[in-house]
Amino acid sequence: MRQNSSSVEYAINYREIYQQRLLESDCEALSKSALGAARESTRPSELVEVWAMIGAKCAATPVSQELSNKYPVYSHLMELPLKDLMKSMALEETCRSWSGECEDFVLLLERLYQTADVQEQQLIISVLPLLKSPERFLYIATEAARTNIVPVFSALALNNPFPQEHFSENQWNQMVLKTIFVGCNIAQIVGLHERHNSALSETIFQYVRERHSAHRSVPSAVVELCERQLTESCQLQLNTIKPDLRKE
Amino acid sequence: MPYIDPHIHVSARTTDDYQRMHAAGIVAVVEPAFWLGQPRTSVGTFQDYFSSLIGWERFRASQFGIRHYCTIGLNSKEANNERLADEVMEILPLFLGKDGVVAIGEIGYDDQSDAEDKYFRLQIELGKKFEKPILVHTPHRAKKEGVLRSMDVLEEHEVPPHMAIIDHNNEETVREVLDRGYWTGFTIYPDTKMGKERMANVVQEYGSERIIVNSSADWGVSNPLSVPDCAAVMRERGIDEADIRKVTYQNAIDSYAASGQFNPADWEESFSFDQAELMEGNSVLRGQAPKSGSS
Repeated sequence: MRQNSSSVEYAINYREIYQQRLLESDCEALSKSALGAARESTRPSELVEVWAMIGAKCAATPVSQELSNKYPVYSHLMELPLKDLMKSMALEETCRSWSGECEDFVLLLERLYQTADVQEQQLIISVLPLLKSPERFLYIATEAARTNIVPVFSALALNNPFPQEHFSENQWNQMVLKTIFVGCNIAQIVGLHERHNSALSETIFQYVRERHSAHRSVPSAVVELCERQLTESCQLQLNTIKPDLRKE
Repeated sequence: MPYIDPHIHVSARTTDDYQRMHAAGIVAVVEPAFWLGQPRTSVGTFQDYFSSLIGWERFRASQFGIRHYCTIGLNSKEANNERLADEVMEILPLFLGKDGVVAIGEIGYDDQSDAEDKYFRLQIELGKKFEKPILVHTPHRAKKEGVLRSMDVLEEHEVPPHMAIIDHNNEETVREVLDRGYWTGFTIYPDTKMGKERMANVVQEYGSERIIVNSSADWGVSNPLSVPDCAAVMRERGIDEADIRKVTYQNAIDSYAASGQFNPADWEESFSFDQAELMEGNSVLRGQAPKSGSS
């Protein structure tokens, strides 16, 4: 699948942010040796060792205000500990220099994901758009969309171009609904408007009705999204409940 | 006053327990890898169990304002299935270097069989390689013999005593374990192991140096509030606050600190929790009203 502009832009910014955060830390030498070791890694256990080394040696360095201001859209990458960013770049390095069967790298990454802790699962999901032929990792992304662990789900659903480019309509719609259910800000979903469809409007309308029946509130951004491609009859129904719908 | 429960199998507990634990002042827990009440038959279920200790359970605890750490290891009971045990040994290195893994454990003896001895020793060496403390489970049957044998084996493998916690002690074993320089754990169970009153006696007699109280609460009859409950009994007895703090908080930190993964700053300063982060429908909250606060 062709990578679209949001993914290319994401990858460029991700790499730039990593380089600049490295400059602000004393970890450049560590990064060089860790990425070097990652280049040689062909098995999950070897990458796990590289990760452990990064975890043990990479000091937490606060991001300068100047750097934060430079990338307002990527605040989540500023909040990620540098060691996690470094672990994700190690993964990218392994992927890039992979000389074995293409399929074997997919298996390696799936194994890593299955044995990862909460933070590691987040960094794997965050770096997916940077990897070569990211559509190979659809299964991992789907697992992240299914997880009950909100930070891992958020790493996929928010500020990440992967779902926009690789999710089917049903997967996309389920992910947006889950984002609403979890209470995350749908404005942070990459491609929210580009991927919107009438089926999703319809399902969100069901949700709004349920919330209304239960006397619960709905974020106004959700109502707005719902109204984007709503059928006329649903819109009429929505209009009748809107006056006493509690908005957030 | 903050408490740490340095040995509790919280995966087996309910959210009610987590809420009561948080209300009672428990700020951090360590969940040692153990068995699940019946033996597993494939390495995949071990892998998923270890993953849940660093994944879902860590997240679940955080939703109730409690920091969750764990130890990873092949327990003594399941070490007796040697074919499976070899497979488990192979996956342990995937987990031992993770953040929040504070020791290798709980390992040691149950029946004191040859297979248990073999995997105890192999894991001691693995713990040394990963520079992790070793959490030693001591047997229910032939307790004293098992405790002494565990310490002999640790010495044979040249593990410095400050790098090992000998757990589930009682009045019969405490003297020797303290004398040989180990961290000395006590499990407070409603009916078996140690009781709260007996624990207070031990602290009165032996002091608070290197003594650690835990609940080891799991899927059996046990009490997840054993640590704060025991502190209350010690307080009634007039035991000094500084001693109570040591056996119910500080010694737990000091014993696991060698892992580099057990840092009070994790729960003292920055840790606030927001249950609004939770999912309705399929989360642990299932639509209950969210609570916000900081631990």
